[in-house]
Amino acid sequence: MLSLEILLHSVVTGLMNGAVYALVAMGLTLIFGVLHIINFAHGSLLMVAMYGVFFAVTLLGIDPYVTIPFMMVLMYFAGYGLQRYVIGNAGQGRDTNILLITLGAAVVMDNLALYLWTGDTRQLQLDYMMAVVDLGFALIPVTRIIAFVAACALFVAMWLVIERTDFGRAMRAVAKEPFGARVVGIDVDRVYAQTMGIGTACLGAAAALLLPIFYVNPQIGNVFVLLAFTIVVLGSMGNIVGALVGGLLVGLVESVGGFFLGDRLGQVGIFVIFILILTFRPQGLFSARV
Amino acid sequence: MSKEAILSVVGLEAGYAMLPVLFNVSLNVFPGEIVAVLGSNGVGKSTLINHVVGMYRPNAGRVLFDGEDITQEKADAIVGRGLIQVPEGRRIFPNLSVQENLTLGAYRRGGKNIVANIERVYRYFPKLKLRHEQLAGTLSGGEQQMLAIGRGLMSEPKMIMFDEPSLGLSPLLVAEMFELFSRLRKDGLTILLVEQNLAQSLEIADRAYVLENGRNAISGTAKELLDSADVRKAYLGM
Ligand SMILES: Nc1ncnc2c1ncn2[C@@H]1O[C@H](COP(=O)(O)OP(=O)(O)OP(=O)(O)O)[C@@H](O)[C@H]1O
Ligand SMILES: [Mg+2]
Repeated sequence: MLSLEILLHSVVTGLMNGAVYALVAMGLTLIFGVLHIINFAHGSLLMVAMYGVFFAVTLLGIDPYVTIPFMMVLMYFAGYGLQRYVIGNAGQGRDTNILLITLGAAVVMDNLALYLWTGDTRQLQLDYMMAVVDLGFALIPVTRIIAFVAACALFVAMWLVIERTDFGRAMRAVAKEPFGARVVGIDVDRVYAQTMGIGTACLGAAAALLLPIFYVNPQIGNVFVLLAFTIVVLGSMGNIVGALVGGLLVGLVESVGGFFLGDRLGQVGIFVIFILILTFRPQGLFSARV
Repeated sequence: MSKEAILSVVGLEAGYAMLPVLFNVSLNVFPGEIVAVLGSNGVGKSTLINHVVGMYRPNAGRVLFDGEDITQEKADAIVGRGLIQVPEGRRIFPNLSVQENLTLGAYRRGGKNIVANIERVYRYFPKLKLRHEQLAGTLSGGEQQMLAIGRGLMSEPKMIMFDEPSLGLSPLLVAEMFELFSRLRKDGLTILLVEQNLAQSLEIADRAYVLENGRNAISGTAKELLDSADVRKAYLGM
């Protein structure tokens, strides 16, 4: 009986983690779907955002969840600027250039973080971090529930933007037919920068949701970006809904895998899935679509 | 013509990276005219249109629209001025519905008169109305061409440039397409028409320019060109 309870607990925990992973992956898949670039700086940007939240909490005494709108705006402009002034200029539209630029940006951020903030792992200490909610079958920390609900809300908001707004329509048009988009008078370079901005803003929110349940150090980006790449491939590159489903699935596999194989091996299941997908269904579980 | 030209291209030189394509090309289009631009494959007709609407920057020369110099203007600003192209290969948004494609045609207008304009497009093309929720990529070739034209009309242009609109259409549809151009002109539009269908183009056009080797070769009224022995031999096979 006890083990069934633990299994249920790990299922719920997995889904909750998965929603936040999905948020990180959504940014990545959106950028891929519209700009057709693989942004290797994604994980490092998340790491920088997590430090941003950390210092906002420890130095300014702001609640981590209150930082979400500010972090999203800051990260939006970081992404916008990265695309408009760095990738857009130096990339010259060549894939290899763009790949090197995003990799380079990642290396610079990682090492700057190491230099500025040392390699120490830091964690928040807040009184409500210990609080749990009794779901009847499992006790779940409040922080995880907040993360899950907020991540899902952001997903719905993003989906509405993409499906229902003028900007979302323009973004989908640019994703598949940039020439046609210019013909009708869409400023394609601006849409690219805005998309990069929105994809990066997801990281601002993810950082604030992750920090109370996780920790931060200069390598933390790699942990999540590997998960995010798996999710993006699993959910079909460029597919937003696929990223949500893929995120939940990966969270579930990690957590339930941990239940059966122990914490250390929990992530093995994820990479087994990754390899299986690449081998047997490289287009992912869904069809590519922004 | 005593009126002032709505579009003037003066001494345009253009090309891509290492490949020069157009040399000192000039032409005028007057309000309410249908002007055909003719020439063999690869002579630079699409290049001409794309440089006029700001998709690429010319190396030299000037483009004037509605009395103003638009040579250095960005593509989106030129759409806002009322000059639009219906590009070669249609370039509709395959992953968006018919209605969404039309809505994006009015992107520069920020959503003004969208409903009325969509209704207007559906009056020209009743078939599109039947398919308004269908993804554009699943339309037939002819329907896609209608959508591309409809999308162009959504920007409330003063002038439209059609780049090979009859490509890949059945003879019946081509005839319909040419009828449509006359109708659009009657409704107040100025038209520049790039076509392979030379005989039919000259039937509806007022004037025509023939390009050869990226240069102005022959120009005149449609009737003059139809009567010209050179044109008949080189392009009409007569
Ligand atoms: N984007 C581009 N980049 C490089 N070269 C191009 C580009 N577009 C066209 N060209 C080249 O420029 C020349 C003129 O092409 P263009 O498409 O303007 O000809 P066209 O008269 O429209 O021909 P067609 O009747 O086949 O459409 C061709 O040699 C073509 O290969
Ligand atoms: Mg052409």
